[in-house]
Amino acid sequence: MVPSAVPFHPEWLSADGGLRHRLAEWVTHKDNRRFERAIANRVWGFMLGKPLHEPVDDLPHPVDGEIDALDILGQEFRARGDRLSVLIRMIAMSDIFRLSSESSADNEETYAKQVQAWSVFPLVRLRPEQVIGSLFQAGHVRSIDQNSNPFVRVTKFGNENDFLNEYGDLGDDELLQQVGTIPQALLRMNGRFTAEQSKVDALSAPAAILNFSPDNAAVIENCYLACLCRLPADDERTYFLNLLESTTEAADERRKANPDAHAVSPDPKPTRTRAQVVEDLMWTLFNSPEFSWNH
Amino acid sequence: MYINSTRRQVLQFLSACGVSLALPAMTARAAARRRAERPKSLITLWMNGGMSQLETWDPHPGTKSGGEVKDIATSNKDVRISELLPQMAEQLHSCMLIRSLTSKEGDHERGAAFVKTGYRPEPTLKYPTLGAIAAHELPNPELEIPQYVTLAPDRIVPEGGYLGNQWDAFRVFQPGMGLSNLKSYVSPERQADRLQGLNVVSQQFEQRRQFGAKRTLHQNTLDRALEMMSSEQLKAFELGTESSGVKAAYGDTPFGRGCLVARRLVEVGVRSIEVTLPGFDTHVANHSGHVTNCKILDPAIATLIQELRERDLLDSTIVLCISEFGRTPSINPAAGRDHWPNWFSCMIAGGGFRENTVIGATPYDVFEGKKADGKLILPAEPVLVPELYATIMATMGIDFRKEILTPIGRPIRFADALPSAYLLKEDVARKVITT
Repeated sequence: MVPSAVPFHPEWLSADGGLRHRLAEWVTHKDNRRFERAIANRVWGFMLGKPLHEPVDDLPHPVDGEIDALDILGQEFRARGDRLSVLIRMIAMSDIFRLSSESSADNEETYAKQVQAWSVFPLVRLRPEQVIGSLFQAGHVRSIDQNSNPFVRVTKFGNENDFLNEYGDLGDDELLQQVGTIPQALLRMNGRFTAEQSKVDALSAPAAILNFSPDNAAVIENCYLACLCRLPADDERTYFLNLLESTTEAADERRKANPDAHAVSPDPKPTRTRAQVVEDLMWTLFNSPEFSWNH
Repeated sequence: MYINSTRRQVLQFLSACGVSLALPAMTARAAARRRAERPKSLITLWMNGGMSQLETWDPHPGTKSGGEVKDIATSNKDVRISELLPQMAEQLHSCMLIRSLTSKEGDHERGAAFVKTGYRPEPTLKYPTLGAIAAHELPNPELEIPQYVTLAPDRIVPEGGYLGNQWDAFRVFQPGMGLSNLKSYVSPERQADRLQGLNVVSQQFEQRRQFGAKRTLHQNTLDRALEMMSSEQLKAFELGTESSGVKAAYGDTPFGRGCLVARRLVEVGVRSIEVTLPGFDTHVANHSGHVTNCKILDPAIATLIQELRERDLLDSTIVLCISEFGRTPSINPAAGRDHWPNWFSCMIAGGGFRENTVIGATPYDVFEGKKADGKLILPAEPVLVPELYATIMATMGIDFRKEILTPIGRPIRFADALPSAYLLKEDVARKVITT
């Protein structure tokens, strides 16, 4: 029988307690830099999709006297009572976390160097619970949080679970850079979650946007803000404005406004209603790479 | 004109005319490739929960460990199997039984991970399943549907592991009962408008992120999903064109329908298919549990092998019936059998594996499975799971020695063992050895 032992610094091991307890104390010992560095590396990886040191679970022994970003983050984490919230806040406030994923690179090699040097934000696939959370929020006018109506929260909880079952939970693979799968694309395109959240009905965000936006341009802007938190670019606005101006309602308005001109040159018969165009726009935005990749 | 034609020519002709009989989704080109020259497919029949070897492929009647089950003669005159598998008894001349598989993993999750991948599970790395490796290494370029499909799966998805999640199996929860999320809920005209709009929004996003966006493969995945939505090959998942007689022969159960869909998927060229039959974790009432499950298993697997043979597809299809472990020789007070990884059985048919053969033997009347000194008894001619998988890979034409640099920076071989020529037919073994 080989006696149980730790690989280094046995003096950090307490004399009392069960094996697990002693091991936990040894791992988290205040002089064990490896612990805070490993925590910092993982939290960084969760937030930016890529840890500072890869692979995430193979950190080398720290060198005495050498301090890097992992030490800076880790020491602050230790100094503030080992609180993950402190670490998360520090990383969220960093310049790197606030970088754009837009890149000036004109070739793949330069882009790879930029990602490596943290001069662009790496495109990171959103976790499944983030995708359904965003989808559910975009379909509602009010923010969904702990103050929301219990019915809304219960519905969200049920939706999240169903979505995770179908979309797949990343589980241990959270820090692996993986592309999306065909079933996930099919679920986003044809699944009931997308259909429900893009539907124009009594209480939905698409209905509110359609009914309370002052004009077509505002309808498009509000859909973009609800789904992508940005305004449409000019070519996007132009494209979707054309669609909204080719609806049955728009044709009726033109006919009423100028019946004589319509009699001479009737509009081509519109095939979409305004509600359908808004539903299609919401579907489009839900299925865009911008919606499911952190950028 | 076709009186003197070969079966292959008839199939080609019928297929080209759109009269495909039982092969509705098969192209003339695919129909032309039968027998051993056809690229191989793998059908894994996964007996979820740990099938008892003693109630199925390796009965020990008349012994204390044998329990209530009796054995019956088979089409292999030297081999007897459980009376619970009468239809398989008639097919046994086409099959090889391995009665001496061994594992060290007696927990469901770990055992399943080991038997599905050939590697013992570890926390830092997820290994791909055998099916995922086959799909990854032998992609069928003519396929518009996934290369790797799991039918009636349990909650654990057969995974691509370090190969990436794009090699996870495509899940079909109710085989033969339609696929979910494959139909757009708007008209084709509206769907076309939506995709055009999506193109506008995607271009805007990619304008200053062209290299990052390319890495996401978002558009590629979307294109493949759209291709699948409109593919004629989706008919392989439907059973409407199958006769009621064929459906009845497989059995009107999720597993029976899964086996029939599996045959149809093989015909369109899907590389790996897994069909799951749950309910083998019989810690209580083991015998009656196996009576129930074998009524589902027996007709489905026997009809599958028979149909593959009749369609000249058995030489190019490996049918592997396996589970995460076996069950104890002892019977517990609840009349159940517990987990037993020390020896268990699997059945292999087709794909160049030996027929009419039994490999290995397990000790008779060893109720506790241990010697007097407490040491475990091993079966004769033990076969290791990695060795079996290396052999399957080799016969499928996969380089089992190939090393992949995994995400954690460790190069890992597809198989952690060498193939065993003695598991293969002589001509196939010779070919495998020379290549």
